Amino acid sequence: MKKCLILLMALLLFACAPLTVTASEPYRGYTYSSTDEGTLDVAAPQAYLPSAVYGSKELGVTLTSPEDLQFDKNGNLYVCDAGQNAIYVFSPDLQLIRTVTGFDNNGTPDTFSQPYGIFVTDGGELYVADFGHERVVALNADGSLLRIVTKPDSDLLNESFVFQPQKVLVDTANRLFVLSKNVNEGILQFTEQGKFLGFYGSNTVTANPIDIIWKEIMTEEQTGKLTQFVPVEYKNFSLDHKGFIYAVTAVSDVGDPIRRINLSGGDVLVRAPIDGSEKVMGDVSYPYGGVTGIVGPSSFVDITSDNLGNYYVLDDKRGRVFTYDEEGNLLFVFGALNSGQVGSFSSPSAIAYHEHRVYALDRANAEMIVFEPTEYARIMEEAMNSYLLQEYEESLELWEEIIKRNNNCDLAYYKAGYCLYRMMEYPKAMEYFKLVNAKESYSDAMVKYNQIVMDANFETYATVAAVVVAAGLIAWVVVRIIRKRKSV
Amino acid sequence: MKQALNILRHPIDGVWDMKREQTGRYRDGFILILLTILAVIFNRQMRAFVFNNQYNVPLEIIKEVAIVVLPVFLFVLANYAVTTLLDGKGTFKEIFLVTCHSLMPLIIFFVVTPILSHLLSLNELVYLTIIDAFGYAWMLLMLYLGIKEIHEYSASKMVSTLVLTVIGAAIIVFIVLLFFSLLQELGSFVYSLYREFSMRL
Repeated sequence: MKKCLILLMALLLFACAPLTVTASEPYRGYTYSSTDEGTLDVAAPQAYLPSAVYGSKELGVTLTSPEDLQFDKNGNLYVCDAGQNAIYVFSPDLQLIRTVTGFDNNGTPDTFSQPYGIFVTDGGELYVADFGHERVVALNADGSLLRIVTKPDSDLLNESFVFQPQKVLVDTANRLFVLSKNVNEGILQFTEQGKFLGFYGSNTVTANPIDIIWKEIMTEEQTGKLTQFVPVEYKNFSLDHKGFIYAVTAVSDVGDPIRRINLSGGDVLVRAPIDGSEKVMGDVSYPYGGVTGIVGPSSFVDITSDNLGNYYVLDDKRGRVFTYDEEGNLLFVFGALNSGQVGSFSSPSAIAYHEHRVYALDRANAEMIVFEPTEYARIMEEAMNSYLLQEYEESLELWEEIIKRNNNCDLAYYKAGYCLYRMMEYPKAMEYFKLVNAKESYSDAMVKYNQIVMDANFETYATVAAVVVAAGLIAWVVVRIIRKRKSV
Repeated sequence: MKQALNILRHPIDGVWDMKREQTGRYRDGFILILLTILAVIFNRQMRAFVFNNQYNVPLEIIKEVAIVVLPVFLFVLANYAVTTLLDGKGTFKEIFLVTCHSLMPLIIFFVVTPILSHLLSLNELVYLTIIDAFGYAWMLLMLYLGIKEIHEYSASKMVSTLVLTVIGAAIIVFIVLLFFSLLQELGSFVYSLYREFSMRL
């Protein structure tokens, strides 16, 4: 009987063992992989997990509707709140340094109204998109007024134009860029002094040929009833470490919702992921209908980038952050909407990358979520870094570590292949390229390999070729002689 | 076999000899079709990774068989239908045999190019494309000359019959599809009728 009891208790202990409480991740880690059956979403390790949530209480300020955040070069965090009409400045350890609620406008105290966007230059100048007052305010580092930019007087703008700045940015050439509400011609571009230069990075209108033919056939009344072909408005933008501007549009069915704009206003975003899809658009497969009400492609509200050339785009439709590398390969997806767990979004508004962490604002919950990279993301970052530094052996090891953790990561195979290629281990490189169907790289490696084989064994090949040619010639001559004799 | 090689080397005379001396056999045609199927599969499976778009796609024998048999069958049927109306001298058997014999260049090229593809890199893709195109061109030329010969057609009449043959093939496909969809309708009708009765009675 006693033995039975002990056995029972042991069994009970076993049964209880899996019940140990572990905090589960608030969202599923996934990525897209191209397979025989098309592009599928496949499981992937978690790359970033929410590590802390800062609300009004934690930060010691009143947040009601935080709209934009930015780190300056000293690591100070600027958060602008459209509900409180204030810009909060925090030290790197998130202690409040000062609150900017107004400025001295040539002797009269002035305030902001619904500031939706801010930008801090390296010199500490603060640019505020003062939405409600229809102006952009630039303040010096000491808080004194530097300049006010109001509605530009230009032939390019029609009478009814309303200047409602939502986002601001100053590039390396000190040009001021403004995104104004309901402007779909592009980004408003100003000189340092605030003179309007024109539109920048204009969205092109996409109309398919059939629509154009219909437009030719239909009467004016009919075309009037059609939805008009208008360019899509930019939602947000940010400066990358090389001085290019990343811009996002909220509507994704434009084909290229994410753009990288160069000095002359052209789109130079590289869309060459190794799966050959040429797509950089957030979620690749998504429901077109359903009960959740969340249908259609991703809708982006903000973008940020790191020094490795990776960029992070925030999708407010599903509360996800998509991370891409410079070539347009999808690296990570993280974040969730209304999952009920701490660290999920409700209405995400802005995102910033700083020192390996991703900071995101949520306007409805009035909080800031900090995402900490997991070991997986750290290894990936390390691998990319050592690849850029041309430390291929080290990089190869790290990429192979990534493959161990996520054998769906096409990029890891590809990069590992390239490390081997650089290390002149062509047959191994070819194996990796073959696994991810990278035909061009495979071919390059093959050419190099053939050259080596050729160089090493040239004499053997030459001898064999000479022997074959000679044997052929002799055989031909012999056959001819025999035929001649026969005919004779 | 000898006859096949003869036709390959001298398409016009070879076909003419076959027609005159009545040496054509159905068996030869079927062997050639079988060889073509094998060559198509060889080409698909053995082509170097760099030039092979179906490298990761699993092989389906039925698909490969269909890709050879259906066009041949369709062409023979359509051509026979058209040429009987346009006083062609060729019989069904002859049309079939000429079509099968004109597959010979494909057999050769589908064996040679996969081997060659292992020696080339992606930069030399154009050469492989040219070689492939040459194989197809040769096949079409043999088909044209052979069919022209057995029907004893002039060049202009030959071209117009070929166009009509293509149209005829399209019509056959259409009718077959129509037939099957009607059959499906009929099937579902009978089934619903059966359900109706079984539930009421």
